Amino acid sequence: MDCKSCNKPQLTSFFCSCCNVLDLSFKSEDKFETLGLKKEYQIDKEDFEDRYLTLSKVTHPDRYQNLTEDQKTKVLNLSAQINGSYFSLKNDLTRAQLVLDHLISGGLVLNKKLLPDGFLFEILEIREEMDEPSIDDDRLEEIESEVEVLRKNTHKEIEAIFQDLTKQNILDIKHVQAVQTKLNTISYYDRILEQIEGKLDE
Amino acid sequence: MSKEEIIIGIDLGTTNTLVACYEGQIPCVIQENESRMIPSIVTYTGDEIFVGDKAKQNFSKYPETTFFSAKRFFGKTFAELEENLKKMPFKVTGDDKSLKFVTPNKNLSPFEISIEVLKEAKNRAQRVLNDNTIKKAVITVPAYFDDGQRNETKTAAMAAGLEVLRIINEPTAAALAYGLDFKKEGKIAVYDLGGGTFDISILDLKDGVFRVLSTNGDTFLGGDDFDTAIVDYLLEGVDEKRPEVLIALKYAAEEIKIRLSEKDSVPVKIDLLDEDFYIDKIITRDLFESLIQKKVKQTIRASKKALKDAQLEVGDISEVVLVGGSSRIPLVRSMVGEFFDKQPFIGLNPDEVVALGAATQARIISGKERDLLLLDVIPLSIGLETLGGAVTKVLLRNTTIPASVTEEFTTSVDDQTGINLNVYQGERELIEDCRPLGKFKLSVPPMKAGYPRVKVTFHIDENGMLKVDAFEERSGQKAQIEINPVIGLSHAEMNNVIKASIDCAMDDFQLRMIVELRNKAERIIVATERTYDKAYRLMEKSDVDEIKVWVKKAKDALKRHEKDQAILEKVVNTLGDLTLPLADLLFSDATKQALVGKETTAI
Repeated sequence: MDCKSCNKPQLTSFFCSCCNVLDLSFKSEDKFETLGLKKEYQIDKEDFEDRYLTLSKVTHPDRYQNLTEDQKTKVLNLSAQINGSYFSLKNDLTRAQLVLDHLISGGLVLNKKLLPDGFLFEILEIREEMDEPSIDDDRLEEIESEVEVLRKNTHKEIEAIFQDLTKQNILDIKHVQAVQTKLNTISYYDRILEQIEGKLDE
Repeated sequence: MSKEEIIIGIDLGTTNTLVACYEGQIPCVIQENESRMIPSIVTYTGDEIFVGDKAKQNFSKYPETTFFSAKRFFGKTFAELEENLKKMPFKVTGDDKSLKFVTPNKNLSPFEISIEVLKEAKNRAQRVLNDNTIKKAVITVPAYFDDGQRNETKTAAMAAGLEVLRIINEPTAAALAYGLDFKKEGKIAVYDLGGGTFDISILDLKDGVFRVLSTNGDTFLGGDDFDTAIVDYLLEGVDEKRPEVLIALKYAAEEIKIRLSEKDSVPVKIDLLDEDFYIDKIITRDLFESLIQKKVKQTIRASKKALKDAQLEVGDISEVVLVGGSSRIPLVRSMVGEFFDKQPFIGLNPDEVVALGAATQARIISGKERDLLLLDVIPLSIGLETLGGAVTKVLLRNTTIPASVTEEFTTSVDDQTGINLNVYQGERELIEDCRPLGKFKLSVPPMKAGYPRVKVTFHIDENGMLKVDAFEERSGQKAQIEINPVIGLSHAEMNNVIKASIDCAMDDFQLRMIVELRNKAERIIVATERTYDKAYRLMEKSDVDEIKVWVKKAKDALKRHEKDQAILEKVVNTLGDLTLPLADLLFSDATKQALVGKETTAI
């Protein structure tokens, strides 16, 4: 999107960094749009961080004094929206899910709940061992690091599939479904890790 | 208005309270007669209230009504702390929903004790700087304080007659003070072990932005626990309950602890002749360390978690900063150094750095410091109770603030007119392990079950405090929401505390209103006059002329020291209405002023 006054591309649809014009009433559920990014998995980490810092500097409530109540609310909302978008997109896995959701809304048919064969059985086994009354902290920590490794590997696999997809530049439903399935497994791993942490805290 | 307005930074500490402000370009602690700290101690004699040094000096006369470490009890209940309260010289009462200190005239919440300390901080600033208009302040709280504890701090400050511009986290404030000093970039860990609370925060410094990546801590772990460990050791095998002895031992333990930072052993001889009490022991540093090791280990575990949440390794941290009086303890220094694998940095006085940072944040908010920005986080997740007493998180810990999230709710029965929501804060899965923040009820217009679509938005503002609003989409109605804290005082009770403390005589109140109206009028006049040139460009001439007429009226009212509240209100409101469209027109210009740093244009 180009800026109306300087005709140069804007940083985001509500902010031109060239002429420093900010549209405070901007509101969008779209996290990519909020940060002025294309709906893609691949991001330039440095550009991403810079964008966030720039937008934070122009929207943080600390930057404004003597606003009317209405303007104050707008600044607060915009600032929260930017923080929320950054927080979601920074995480590779939520970003991946958002990209898939976008594809689904574009008409792609995907089984959002699919898991690999036998996966639930594996999870069940881990659960059972975790919940055993006799288990000690050392063993819990061992399970924790095993699950962390599983999670890390799955994460890498997702990364690899996206790289393939970008290279081929076509939307291969099989690959996209594979990403969704892997994302589903990660949510199970995360739940286990959360529970282990809870147990270790006790 | 010509004189520059002073905004103070206050570090309301468990043990000591400091107040700071900028002098020229440098933040300074405001000191009075050589004293830089106000002991956070309050004595109620029945007729009089002593605060600070005066309370500390007279403790032996009023052992049962001298209250210290009140901050530790913010947001806590009697049931939670019963074990810890047994060795307190003062009387505490309460149940599983409240905790009160027993003073001669009435029972007070812990934060009501802090009102007196905050008043003293404000008065000290006013006396020393010879300016009795000072009332705006930035106040620090432990990063790990929950929403309830933050609210109590804010209420205490308001009751002390302060206008709270911002509540900021102590380790973040410390980083701000240090960051100014070394103007560095990189990731820093701030380890803040004070008198009553512990915080660890991991920050990323870049381009003048201080971004908190994660925070962890314990609001009931600090120097007080180390003192208690010494007291317990000294009293081993003795069942001592006399308040005058307990309070004397508490101060003795504090002294011993401090000396052990320099010496390998300290002989302890306590002989309270008239009290029939006698101790003759030697405490070595080794012994002291063995007494406190477990507690210090807890801080290391919290540091580990913070690092993990920030998704960093020890090697990523370029600097470790020590804050808080208890960070002077050699064991603490060595264990922190060992964990982070580097020598901790102690450039500024660990007792003062938080107050200095608060003064810096005050400067940022006032618009005088345009090169710095703080991005802070919420310390604990916020969630809602769902079926079976489970908590579903709606905002995760370490979410950058301001933040907001919207959840949708509906009804389960036909013509249901209310939905009850219970808000909790904490990381655990079940409600009984989390902290209840409040219950609230949504009013919904009667419709078929499942038909209403109530969007509830949780906002965390720049102070880290929770606000909730709701909107029913089908009817377009705003749902009514009132949050009532489960623990401590209700909002109405808090408001009563504020009203009661602000010298509540009606005359006084009215006078205050008039002063406020006059200030407001003054602000509008200055702001409007500055924009006349632009106004003629942006608005109809007749509209600007109308504004000019009312500006003159306002000036006349100020000149004749108008005391009629109605007249002042009329002038202020009319001017406000007339200039509102102008404010909007000027706003895009104002956003330009808000931009900082050359690098923004480079993008």
